[in-house]
Amino acid sequence: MFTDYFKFSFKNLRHRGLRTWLTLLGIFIGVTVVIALIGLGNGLKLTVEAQFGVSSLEVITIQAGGVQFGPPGSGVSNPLTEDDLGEILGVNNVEYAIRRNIETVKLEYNDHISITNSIDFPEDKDESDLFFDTNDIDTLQGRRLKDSDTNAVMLGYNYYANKVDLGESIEVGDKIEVNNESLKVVGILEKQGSFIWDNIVVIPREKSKEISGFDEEIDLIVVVLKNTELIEKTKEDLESTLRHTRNVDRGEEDFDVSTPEAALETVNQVLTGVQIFIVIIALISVVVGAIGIINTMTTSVMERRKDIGIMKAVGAKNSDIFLQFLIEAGMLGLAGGIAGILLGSALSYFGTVGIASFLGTDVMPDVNIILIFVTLVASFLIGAMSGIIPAIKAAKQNPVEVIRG
Amino acid sequence: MIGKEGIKYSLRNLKKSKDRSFFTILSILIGITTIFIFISFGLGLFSYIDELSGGASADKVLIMAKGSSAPGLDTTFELNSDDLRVVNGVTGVYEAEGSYFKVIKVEQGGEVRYTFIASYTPENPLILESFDIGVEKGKNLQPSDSSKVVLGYNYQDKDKIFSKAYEINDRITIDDRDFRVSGFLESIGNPQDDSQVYINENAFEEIYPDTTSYGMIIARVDKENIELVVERIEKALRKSRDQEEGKEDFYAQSYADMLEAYSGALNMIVGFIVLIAIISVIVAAVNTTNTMFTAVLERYKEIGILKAIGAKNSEILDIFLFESAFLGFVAGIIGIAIGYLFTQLAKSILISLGWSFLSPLYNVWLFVGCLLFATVTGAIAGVVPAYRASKINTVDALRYE
Amino acid sequence: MGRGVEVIRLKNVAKHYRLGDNLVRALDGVDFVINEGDFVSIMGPSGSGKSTAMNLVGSLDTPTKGKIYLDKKDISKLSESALAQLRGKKIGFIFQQFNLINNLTAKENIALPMMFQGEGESERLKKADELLSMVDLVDRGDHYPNQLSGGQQQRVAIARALANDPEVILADEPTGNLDTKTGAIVMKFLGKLHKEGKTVVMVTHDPKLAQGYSDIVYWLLDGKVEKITKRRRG
Repeated sequence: MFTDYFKFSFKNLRHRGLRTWLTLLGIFIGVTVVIALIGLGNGLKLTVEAQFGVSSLEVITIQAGGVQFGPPGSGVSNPLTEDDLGEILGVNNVEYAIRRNIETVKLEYNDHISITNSIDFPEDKDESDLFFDTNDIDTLQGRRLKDSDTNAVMLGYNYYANKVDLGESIEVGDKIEVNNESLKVVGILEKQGSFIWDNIVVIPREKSKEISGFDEEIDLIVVVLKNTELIEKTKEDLESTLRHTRNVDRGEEDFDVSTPEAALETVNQVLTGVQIFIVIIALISVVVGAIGIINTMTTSVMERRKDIGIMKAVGAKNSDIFLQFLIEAGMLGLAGGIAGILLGSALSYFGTVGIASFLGTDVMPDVNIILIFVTLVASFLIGAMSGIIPAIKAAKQNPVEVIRG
Repeated sequence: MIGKEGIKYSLRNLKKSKDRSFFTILSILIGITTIFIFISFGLGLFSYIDELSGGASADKVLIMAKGSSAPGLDTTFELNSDDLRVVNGVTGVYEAEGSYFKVIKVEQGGEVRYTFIASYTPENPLILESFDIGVEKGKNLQPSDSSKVVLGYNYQDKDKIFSKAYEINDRITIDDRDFRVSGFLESIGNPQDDSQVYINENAFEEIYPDTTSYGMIIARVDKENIELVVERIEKALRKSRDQEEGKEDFYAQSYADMLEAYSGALNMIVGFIVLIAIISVIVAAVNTTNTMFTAVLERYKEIGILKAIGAKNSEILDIFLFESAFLGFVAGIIGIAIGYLFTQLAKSILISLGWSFLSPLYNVWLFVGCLLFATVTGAIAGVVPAYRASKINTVDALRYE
Repeated sequence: MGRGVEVIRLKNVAKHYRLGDNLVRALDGVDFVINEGDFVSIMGPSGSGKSTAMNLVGSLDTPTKGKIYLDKKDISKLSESALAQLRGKKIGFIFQQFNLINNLTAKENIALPMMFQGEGESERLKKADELLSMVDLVDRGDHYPNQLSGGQQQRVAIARALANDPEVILADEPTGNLDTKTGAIVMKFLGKLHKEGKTVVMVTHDPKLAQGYSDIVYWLLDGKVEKITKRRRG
């Protein structure tokens, strides 16, 4: 009998023409907005996550505590130092501890300047090999920096693609000036899709110290583990070692030891929060659309008083009538939902592509099957729920009142 | 037009189909309330920005080194006393001071917080002027105070920054050194700024000798020609730092310009959200059209009767138009009322949390605008059904059972 | 023809309802007995309560006072769904205003009662085809009611009434909206059904019709049974 009711409602809805369309329109717009915004929100999350580029090697990153602005190492009150690095090397399960300094530099080329970030390149053979593994990068053109290099640099992809405002693209073999020091470009990095890496200047450590004026202070320490299974234990060990070295009590740490997942977590949380907020607002349209269904179904019940009476006369139970109208309401919701999913998905797809290309990332907007399925079910349910009260009214209809013409 | 009888007739019809009227009003109401809430918050934010950019900051120019997202985070490019001298020498600059900025660690009991410390010269606190605030409680610093600090507003309330509140003359531990609290500043309105610590420039230089660069230089300039003065400052600094135009490692901006950037972003965000709220109103309008169509169908025969006894087409149109507009109007009133209550409630919560700069603001146009929007939406939604009603064939209608 | 087996009984039934401030006594203590195989007519002028009587006999309504028995069961003791099922199985309705569902084709209208009894789709359609041929409307099966003449609509209604092969046919002024010729066709059909063993209960204001076809006539006046006439037919 269920399938019959679905067929019935289909017929009934078609027959009601314009008013059905108007009701559908309401839910349609609402669902479109919700789907589009959820999709865009997810696309934005993916794009932002891509900026962070979690490496395939599981490492622990250590930063000094401070205000959460800017790249690692800015906003700190008490920086990490070589002493801290030395102690970390002695901790169990630590294979390598690599220091990293990220500085702001002035890059001059072709009579243009660009203020950008630099990262130092290690001068130890093992560490320099690890540089590429831990950051998941490699060169596209030219060659990798070697631990023996002094005046050579590698540049991020955007310099080669002329996406930096320098008037001309930079190629392997070109000379550039960094903080007024002349350096030679020996390698261009592959495109990472990350704003930071695509605009980076990689400078050998000694030269970077010279140019940017740091020595013992360290912005970031990357710890490579011998056994990644013990990552949580090692994190704790590192924390207690640093507490000792830096002379701070538990709970008062002026540093931060984090596993890769943790960093991404925070970003995710913020973005998800924003997403939820916007979606709640969009849901308002859905609610208004649902009200439209209540309205339409109430009217429909009133108009079909006679038919209801007839059906009762030919043997329909109250529950039969109830189900029929409930399903009809659900179908209204479902139809609006389907249309909304189609348009909303199209909007979010193109929107995501737009955002990604703006940020220079290659993000494939994913078609979230689960979201679509949930929305379909929810549309039907919302429709049905809106229809409950009208359906009850219909079922309670006394056949006698209406049959006699 | 619609006469008194027409109005009575319309209102009675609306009352008769109470369910339908209720749902229609509810639809429009939800949209209007949302719009009201967001616009009032938007207005609040805009006025906050206006406040900041107007008043005492209208004649201030800000000079900062490029590369840092916030002053004091980056010391790659320096601004120092030489630059300050240059700026002071520019025509149109009445006076200029530099402020050091640094990230500090503040401790209380076992709690640690990181925030900024800023230096200023108490005889000439340009940085405080630019925020249009002064020392509200306690005393301003004296040039000789090497171990006293002035705290941002939030430190005097408990559980805003630390669990315990600070009072005048309390001890405060910064970077493992002890200082005494000299006074508290007025509230700027946002948690970040209200948690800053301020110290004497001399004291700062003594305690942090490694920080040689100002976080920012603030200049009080000739308000009338502010843009011209900004250009002159840039030119002078370029010359003294030996940099070509387009290749500077600093920038100078009037406070007003800087805030414009924020209001630009704010515009977009509020606009976006209001857009979505408007979509709800559109959906509500659709519902209203639906309702009016139904009403017309229900009163099909009645309309025929009205026409038979002499009603003109235009009068039928007016009656239905009035009904849908009235529904919108009622929705508008209720929506505004609910929106107002909600924003008032939110306002008191925000203020108690220290986010007073997010408070909503109202103006007459907000109320009038929302009401008008609601009524017009109702009217427009009813146009097509009303038109159809007016065009009903009298004879057919009378025959209708 | 099993006579004497009681199918429907109304025992001292009264139906009152309020119209504004007035209490209307539509039926004021009536007794009906419908036996299997009878052709019963309920007669009376307008206002006599015959429409109310019809609704009660068909268990579409419940009495204010008294009891109604359908198939010897007290309908007031049945749950709403049990009553609906029973009614759907036992009674087929034919109305003055045809009362077909406008959104459904003739065939679908006929199949409808079977659907509420839970019959499968292919079964329903097969039987509907048979019933359509019974009322000579095979080529009109896919037409909607607004595409059929009054007489055709009533024939579809008759086919629908027979959908579940009910014991009792309840006809409420079946020829009221038809011209005399078509009306006669419909009455002939009812007569045929009666001859085949069905119980027929007809409400009419036309005494000629009542006496021409019925075994028993209940004459109603002002909510009470004025007299009962019996007539032996073949």
